[in-house]
Amino acid sequence: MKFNAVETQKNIETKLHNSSDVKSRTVQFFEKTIVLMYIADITDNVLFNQTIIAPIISYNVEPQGDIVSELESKVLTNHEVVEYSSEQEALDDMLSGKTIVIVDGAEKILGIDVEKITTRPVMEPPTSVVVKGPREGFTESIKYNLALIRKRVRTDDLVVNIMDIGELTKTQVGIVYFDSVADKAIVKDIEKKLKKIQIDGVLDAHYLISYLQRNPKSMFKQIGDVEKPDILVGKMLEGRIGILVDGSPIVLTVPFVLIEDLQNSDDYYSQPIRVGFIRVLRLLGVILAVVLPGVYVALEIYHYKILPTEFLVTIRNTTQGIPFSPFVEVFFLVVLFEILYEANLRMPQYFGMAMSIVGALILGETTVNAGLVSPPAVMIVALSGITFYIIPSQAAQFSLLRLAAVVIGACLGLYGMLIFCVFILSYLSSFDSYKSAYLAPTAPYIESDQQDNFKRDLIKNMKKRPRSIANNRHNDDRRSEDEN
Amino acid sequence: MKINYRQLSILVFMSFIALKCLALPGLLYSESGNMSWLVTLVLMFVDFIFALLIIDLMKKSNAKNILEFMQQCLGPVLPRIFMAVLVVKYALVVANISKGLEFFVVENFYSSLNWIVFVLPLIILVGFMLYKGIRNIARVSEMVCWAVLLGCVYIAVKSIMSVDVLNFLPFFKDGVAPLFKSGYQHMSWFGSSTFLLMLFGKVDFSNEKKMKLVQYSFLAIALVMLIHFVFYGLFDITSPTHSFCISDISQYSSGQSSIDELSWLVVSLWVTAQAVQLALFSYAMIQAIKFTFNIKTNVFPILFVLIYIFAWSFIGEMTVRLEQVFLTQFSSILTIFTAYVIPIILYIGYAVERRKNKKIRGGEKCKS
Amino acid sequence: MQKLKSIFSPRKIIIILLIIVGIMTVPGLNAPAMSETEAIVTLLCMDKQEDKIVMSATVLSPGPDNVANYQVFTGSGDTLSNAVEAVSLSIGKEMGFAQCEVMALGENLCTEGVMQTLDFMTRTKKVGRNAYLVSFAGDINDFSESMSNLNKEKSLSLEKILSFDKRYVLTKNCNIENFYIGYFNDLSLGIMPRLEIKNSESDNAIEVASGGQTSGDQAEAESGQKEKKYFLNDGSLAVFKKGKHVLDVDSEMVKKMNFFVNNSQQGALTIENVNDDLYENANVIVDIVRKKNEIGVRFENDTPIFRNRMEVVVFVEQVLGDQPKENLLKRNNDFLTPTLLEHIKEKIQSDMQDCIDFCKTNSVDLIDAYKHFSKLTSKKFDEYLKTHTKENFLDDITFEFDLHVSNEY
Repeated sequence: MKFNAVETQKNIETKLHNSSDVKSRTVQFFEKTIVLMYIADITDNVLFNQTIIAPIISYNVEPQGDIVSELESKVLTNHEVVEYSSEQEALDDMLSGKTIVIVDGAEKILGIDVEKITTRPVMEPPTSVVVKGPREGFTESIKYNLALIRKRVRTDDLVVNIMDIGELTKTQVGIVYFDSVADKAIVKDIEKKLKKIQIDGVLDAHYLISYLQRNPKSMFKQIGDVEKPDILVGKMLEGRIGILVDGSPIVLTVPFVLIEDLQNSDDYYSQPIRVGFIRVLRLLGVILAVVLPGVYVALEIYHYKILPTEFLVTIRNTTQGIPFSPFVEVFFLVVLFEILYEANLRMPQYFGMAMSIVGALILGETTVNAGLVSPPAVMIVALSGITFYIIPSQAAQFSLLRLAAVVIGACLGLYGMLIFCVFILSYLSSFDSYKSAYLAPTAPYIESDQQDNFKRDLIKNMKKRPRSIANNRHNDDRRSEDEN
Repeated sequence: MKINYRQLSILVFMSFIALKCLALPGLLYSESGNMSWLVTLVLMFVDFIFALLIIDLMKKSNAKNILEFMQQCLGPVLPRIFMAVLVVKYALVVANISKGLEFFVVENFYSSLNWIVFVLPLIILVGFMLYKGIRNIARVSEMVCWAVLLGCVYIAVKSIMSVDVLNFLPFFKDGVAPLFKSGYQHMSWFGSSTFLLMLFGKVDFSNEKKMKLVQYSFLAIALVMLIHFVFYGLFDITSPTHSFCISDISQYSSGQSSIDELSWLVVSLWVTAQAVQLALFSYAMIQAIKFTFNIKTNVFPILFVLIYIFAWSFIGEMTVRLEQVFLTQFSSILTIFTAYVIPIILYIGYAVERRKNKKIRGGEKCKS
Repeated sequence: MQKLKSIFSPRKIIIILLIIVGIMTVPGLNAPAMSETEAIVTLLCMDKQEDKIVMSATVLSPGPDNVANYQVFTGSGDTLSNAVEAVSLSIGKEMGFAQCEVMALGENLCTEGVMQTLDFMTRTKKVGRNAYLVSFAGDINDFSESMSNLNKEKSLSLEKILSFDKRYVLTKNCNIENFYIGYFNDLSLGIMPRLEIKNSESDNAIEVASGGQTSGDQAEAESGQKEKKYFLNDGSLAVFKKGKHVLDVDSEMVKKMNFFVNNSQQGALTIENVNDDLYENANVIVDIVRKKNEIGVRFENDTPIFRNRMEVVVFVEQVLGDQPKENLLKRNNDFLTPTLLEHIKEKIQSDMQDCIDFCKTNSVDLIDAYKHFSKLTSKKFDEYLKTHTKENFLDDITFEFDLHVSNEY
């Protein structure tokens, strides 16, 4: 089929409902009419002029054969020129930033990449701040993000597989992994799941999570998310697979095990002894965050006998005259904390400081002074609130668990709290994420993986890939013997 | 859903310490006095030997489950009868653990606690673990066991300086007869290895580290003996008046104030360990019920076991004292039969069957 | 079957059970703190007066600025339950005994027998068996009021005083558990510290009360009095046989008894009239810094021998009387002269002999001889007991003392 340049231009314009940002330019190339079509706002004008217009206009050697091939091989100086044999294909690519070149009477349409990438610069992500270590974070552009990965991985082993998802948005979603390391069955499984997705649009990586996780209704996180290329590459080296989504600075990783959230990229850039201490501290922080208010309520309502007399004196003195039951008191504070947190998060930054002062100082101080809540309750809820953010990525889940723990503590006391804790352990033990046990390498205990569990070995001693993460077993050694 | 060898060893550890650190030391003392520790030591060692024997059979067999294995060795009828007997044994252990846990929780944590409020959360937890299967129980055990071990060692070590070694003397003052008598009478607290029968075909021996089982079994024996040593060393003649060994030691060791905070943590850990042990023996009971009545689904046996735990809590509340059931001759004979006789019969049956097969194979070779 | 399965789906069952648990436990959401609904008893005193049990409970109540405030409530009844009920009524709350750190028993009750009381309090009322047990002489109201004031005014609690005693002057850790162990043993012997509330000041008494504020019926009646009360803890002991008070041991004798107990400290010894190159008719105060006992028992020709091997480390603390000024230039180890060493040995040996004589005279085995013989030489001791009773078995025992005294450097 031969394309009539003017007709094709009209067809495309009609298909795009004559949108005003669709621009076209007609140029004469010897005897042929060429129509260049592009979308103004996503086209880089300089590139457009330098790599398309200028070469075409200034070319003065009469073409000998097929004009399209001549343009492709001799005229256009752009790095990427694609051929389309259908109008629809060309239109689809035009929408993602390509300029299409329609030569009157030619059998192919050309697509030239002059996309203007509009994104913020590479910055340190706010949730993965490190003291020492790389500060580059992913941006909203999949191209930039892939570039950040490629920059760190100069090997032919890296596989990038991009597909479009979303009936209307046609968002680019990329799967990245190391061919020799990642488990192929998992890669196929992910590809299959992604291809099956039928959705209007994918605006962020989190849209895909419910399609990928095994227990979609569970409140616990089953898919990892990273915001920094060094972390992603680290995870990929262990056999994980990354899923990038255009428009999202978050890269999803599978398989995911809970211990990942206790690990921080900082850990790999500091002394192993300190890392062990910090990780145990993080675990302790999480436990405190979830159970402390519940235990306090339980102690107050049912088990004051456990408290040493001196401590009991303090509690009795500070809680006397409080009009509410211990549950109401703590529940009120927990909810208040959540409201303050939510308000602080959404508020413009310049209000933030004022909000903190109002929340922490004025509200806290006055409620205690007014005798509505007791100082120990405020202290415990505040402590629990702060310790949440040792693991910010799980804070939402933990805050719900904390509320549940407060209710259980009030209804059933310490016994209920214990049953609750074992139940949570049992529940977490019960689901696996892509062939990996959620609580691995603790339950099931994997001896070789203790190199990077609650403690971390010296990097030079971490010779084996973790067995908790499904990967190609034959490739267990991280380096060859002579290097060891 | 198979468990690995390490998890199997940890389950053995958990089953070995189950029931041994609450009422048992006090009960044993009434019969065998200051030599009670020897009864526990010997019977735990016997349990260990039988655990090795059952695991050996498990490794050798290629049967999918214990029923298939029994049928290979003993024919079609006898295994069903054995299974029914095992159901009764497991039922007794489940009742013992659940009732012991209830007394322990109520005595140590509450002034009073409605039995329904106690039993329903426990049922939810155990039901969930049973629904998720043995792998789930094994994984939770893996996490709980170290905490329990460290906690118990903490409690024991804290009190060890107050132990009066003279309490253990003189040895065998009344001879060995009282030891045999009390061992026989309290047999229901032992025979922990019986649960292993229900793990046939559920253990992956591919990464077997042979010493693991021995290590964990000896660790369990050492832990129980340490607790018993401290208990008798502290309480001597008043031992029979103490029903909760673990918490009573921690209360004694905390000086003049009530139990200190860390000891409460340990007491709490013991509650979690008991809950896991309850799930383990409930799992064994479910398997035995399935094999006895040829039930394919898990849901109804689980429901039955949960109703059974509920009923025990109710009955215990009304009239029957659990010790009365456990101190009967019936329960001792039942334990001896299930824990020791059945494995021996199985071993002999397996050996005879193998010899037969060898002969047949040898005959076929000669013919050919 | 499939239908049945769907009816009994695990999710449904869990939800139903959760709803039931929720319904049953929902009152917990509005429950007040238990420490407000129960009176927290920290000290419980009991005695018998005119065939009635009198009980006095020191109750913890909120005070300003993290300072504990204690109130005393007293009640009486024909039985222990009635007495508890009477005190509870006067407080207006159920009594919680979990924090009860000391149980004090009056003289009358001790003479009649304490085991039923202890059994009631530990088994029914859940008083911890690690609580201290003391006997007291004097009026119960005076005693409990004094204890309350001791806490309030001197920042001292009886529990703290007794806990210090345990290290210094008492032979044993006198808690309920140990009293039980003593009671259930063959000799049925128990001890507890003996405290006194006196109206007149003595050497080491502490002023604790001058008719301070109290609550409860009897205590209230006495609130007008302004007479000073003195609390005396001199380390003396009350000895019980079969749960009944039979004997008091004064503090001097208790110190002597400590020579037979391994982990007790002794305090100071006064060695009188030391004369040698260094000392001139001096009284020397020697502190026993450490001591280690090894009790050994054996039979020789059917005669039981009790051997106390003791290593004592001493430090010369003070020399009374006029001494040459060169003495002040001596080094520590020069103070322990051979003569002084001999004197110390003699003193300790005579103290131990006094203690044994006391035990023999009163037929109380406070040095655990029975335990050692019955545990370490049980067969021969059983034979020995055929010719002796549990009352007089000490009479024919030979006591050997092997004493090693050295200086603390």
